[in-house]
Amino acid sequence: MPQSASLEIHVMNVGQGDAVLVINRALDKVKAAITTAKGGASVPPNPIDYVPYALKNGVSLAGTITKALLVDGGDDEYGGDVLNYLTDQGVLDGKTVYRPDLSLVVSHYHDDHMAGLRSVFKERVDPKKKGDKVKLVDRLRPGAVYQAMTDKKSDPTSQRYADFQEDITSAMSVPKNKTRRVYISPGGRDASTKQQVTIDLGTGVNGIAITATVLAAAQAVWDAAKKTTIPISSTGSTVDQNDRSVVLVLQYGSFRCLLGGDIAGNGVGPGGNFGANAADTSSKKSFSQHADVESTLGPALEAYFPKTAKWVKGQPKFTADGYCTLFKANHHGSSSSVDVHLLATVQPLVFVGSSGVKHRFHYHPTQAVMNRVTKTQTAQWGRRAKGKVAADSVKVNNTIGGIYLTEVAAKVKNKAFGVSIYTAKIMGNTVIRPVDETIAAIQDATAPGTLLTVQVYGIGVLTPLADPTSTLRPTAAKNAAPAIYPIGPFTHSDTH
Amino acid sequence: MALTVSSVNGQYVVNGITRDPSVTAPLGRAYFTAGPHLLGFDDNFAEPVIVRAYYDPSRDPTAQLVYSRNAVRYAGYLQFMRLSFRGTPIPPEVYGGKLADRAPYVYGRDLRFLDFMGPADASLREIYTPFYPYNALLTRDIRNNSDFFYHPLDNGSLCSAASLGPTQSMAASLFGEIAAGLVTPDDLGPFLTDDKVILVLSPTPGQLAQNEPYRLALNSLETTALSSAPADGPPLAGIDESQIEAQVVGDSVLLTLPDPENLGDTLVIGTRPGTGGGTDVVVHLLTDYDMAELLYDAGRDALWRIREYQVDQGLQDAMDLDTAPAGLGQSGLNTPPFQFTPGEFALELRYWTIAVAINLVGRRLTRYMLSGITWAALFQYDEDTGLMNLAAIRRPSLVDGYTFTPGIRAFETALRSMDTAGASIDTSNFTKAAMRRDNFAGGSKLSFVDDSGTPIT
Repeated sequence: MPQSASLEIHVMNVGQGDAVLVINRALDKVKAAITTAKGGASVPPNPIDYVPYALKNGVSLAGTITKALLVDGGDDEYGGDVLNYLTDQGVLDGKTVYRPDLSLVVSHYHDDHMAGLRSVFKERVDPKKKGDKVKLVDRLRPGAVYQAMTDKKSDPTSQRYADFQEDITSAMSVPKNKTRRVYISPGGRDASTKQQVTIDLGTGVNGIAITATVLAAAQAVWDAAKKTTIPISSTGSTVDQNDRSVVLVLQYGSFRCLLGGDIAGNGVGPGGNFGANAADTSSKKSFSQHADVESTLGPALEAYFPKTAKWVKGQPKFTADGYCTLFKANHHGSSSSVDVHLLATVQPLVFVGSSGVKHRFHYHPTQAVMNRVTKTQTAQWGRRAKGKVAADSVKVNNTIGGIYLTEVAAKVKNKAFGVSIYTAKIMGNTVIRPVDETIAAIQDATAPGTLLTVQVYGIGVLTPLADPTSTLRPTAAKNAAPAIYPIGPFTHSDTH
Repeated sequence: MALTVSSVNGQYVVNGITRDPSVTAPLGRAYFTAGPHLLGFDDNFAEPVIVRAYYDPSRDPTAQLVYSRNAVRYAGYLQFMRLSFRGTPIPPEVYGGKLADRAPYVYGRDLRFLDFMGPADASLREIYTPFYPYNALLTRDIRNNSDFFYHPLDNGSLCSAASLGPTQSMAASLFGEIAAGLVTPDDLGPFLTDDKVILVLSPTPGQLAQNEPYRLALNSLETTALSSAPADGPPLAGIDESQIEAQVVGDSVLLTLPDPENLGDTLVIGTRPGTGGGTDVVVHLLTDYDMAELLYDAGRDALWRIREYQVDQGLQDAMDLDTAPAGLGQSGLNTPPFQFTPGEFALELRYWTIAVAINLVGRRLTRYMLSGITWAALFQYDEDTGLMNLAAIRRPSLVDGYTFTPGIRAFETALRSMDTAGASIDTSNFTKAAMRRDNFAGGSKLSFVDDSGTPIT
């Protein structure tokens, strides 16, 4: 049966950082582009193969985007790579300055998430003659930028943050076709409308909506059960920007994706992490501690996204409260993030992590997190306490069918990075696509038991490291020509 | 009595530094001998590295000749520096950081400059010959030039042929820091806000005399709970101090704590006048993200300043940018305009450390070069982290001659000129040379290379 995939989630390889590109693509336009460039006979029989074919054969994807959302842009050094990737994927065409179909979200204001986004707005002009200085000139204006509400007490003092804010202000200051800025209040409410921020990404198969909902931001989580925000207190005298991360849930029918920025959990026992799953705090001598956002987020996810009570045609279906098909590792797989208790809530099918060496190596992903997500190491996850039910007394099966990582160090400064990633696959840029036909089938179902299928493939390009004393692990096996997928595709399914 | 070297607990020391043979003076973790000079390096702190030079007149035939004519009144070290990027000299203010304020002393076509306190401070102290040991005047109440003939002093001593007692220095010496860090006190200042203070100590003068402020702070944090979290116990109890990375910025000592995910906090330890009239030790806490903001653009910004300077001077064709290699992670707004080969020492800070004798007859002062060495601090840009790191020391070699007069004229001019007479150079570049430094092994250690850049084992 032919398959198609309207929604694409690209976890871009930006080394130690995050950049996630979400695309709602019009596959009929891709087919037309292939037909124009290569002739109708070249069009692959299966629509899900259109985009990989176009990329493999140099067919421009410009004009094939319905809507796109870029969540973070990696560190500065990857800014151009993000731009190039957006162009390769047809989000940008190299000519049009105003892109109303592109929205940006900056999860929080650390360089490895924010700095690369500056390259969306600006490009550098090098000095050309005596007296010239380096200049940054305008490049692009996205339709909208979503960011946590500014707050004097918690805003960073860095020049980079100030520059980024100025970039946005500048893009908002043109006479027409200006960028719209949406400030997100604590808990994910639109600062202007007071409504929960939901980004409309158009529709996919059968008109099923694709949306991105903000569930937490600016040190607060939205509690749908009580219809209020739950504040997250800083553990020290200063605010950890990670705690302020914008947490998004992307939804397309019965497919969901959790993007949590750099929020942390507990890391040890109270988060459900025991033995080899627990963060090693023995050598940690830090005063500053991030807050535990995940422990608040878990119940909030369950309240906002309850399991399906009745199988009704035309509705998405879920078998667990708080379920998300795809879980991108919070904080790159830091040992204090991705608690077992949160995994037990999300019950993901696919887990993906963005990590690397450049621009700073943080020993991610950590062994503790790899242990928590790998079935052979953790077959079941304990649930958090609920009412009179004690924490960890109820277990759920580990649901993860595939673990994917952008890039992973082998050694850094001649020191081996020995974390075992078990059967996880290193992919470079990693693309995750729910299969439209399965989304539609679940939507139409009137009883449990329909499969949701997700396809994952990798681009396989890693960061070249300048320092010969540092190396990366190789990618998963690449396909030989004439395969159109550089790595994969791999498919995973769960039942709805 | 000639100077000799011995090893004590892995550190080299100099014997014979005074008439009292039991007195030793520190050299460092490694040292070189070049003619009558000993040159030692101490990298207990990652930044800055301390350099110690000793000139032994008893090993210098030139000195003997001068002594025999009874011409020498005293001798000391002058030190000159020059920055170059890939072999081309660049002004210190272009490079920036701690060296930026050395501009008043730049002279000659190859942009050398004196390593000495700023014109305003020198003028105030009526210094005529900028011997490096005189930098101790910034902190010590030293009244007479002859007081510099003794050992130990913060920035080294002068030596005299006269017999002056058991603590007389038998060598001219220099204790200084390789002060090329790109982060300055002005950069650090905005981060040191009141909400980041975690500890204030009010030590007695006796405690401060026996311990550096950072040591007092560490001792407290290792043994005493913070008043804000008494139930948590001492926050640094049991810490492995060898894993701490230390650096000095201005008057502050920065200690970065170990962390399994390289996210360790940094303690910034400084002092301020205490409410009771004494001195308080103040500890601020910076997170890893604060430090990233402080450090990680400094190297790239310096490279762009160098690039602009080269274009401005016609030293490089404007279009002759290094082509970035294909691949991820090299295309940011701030990606440097140069590509570096692995292990390339792109930036060199060359030193000329010159022993100079003074003869003063009436008001007529004559300066003679006795002997000098040249050596260099070599920096690498780490493209994976964006840091400009002091990576190696090029071993010293004797210089045949050194025309130091233009450097002294530049010094004299800087003190007289309306434009520069009031200029300051961060005094901490000199005053911290004598700070007692525990051996914090976190961070990288120096390597040493020969003239061709080959490591010396």
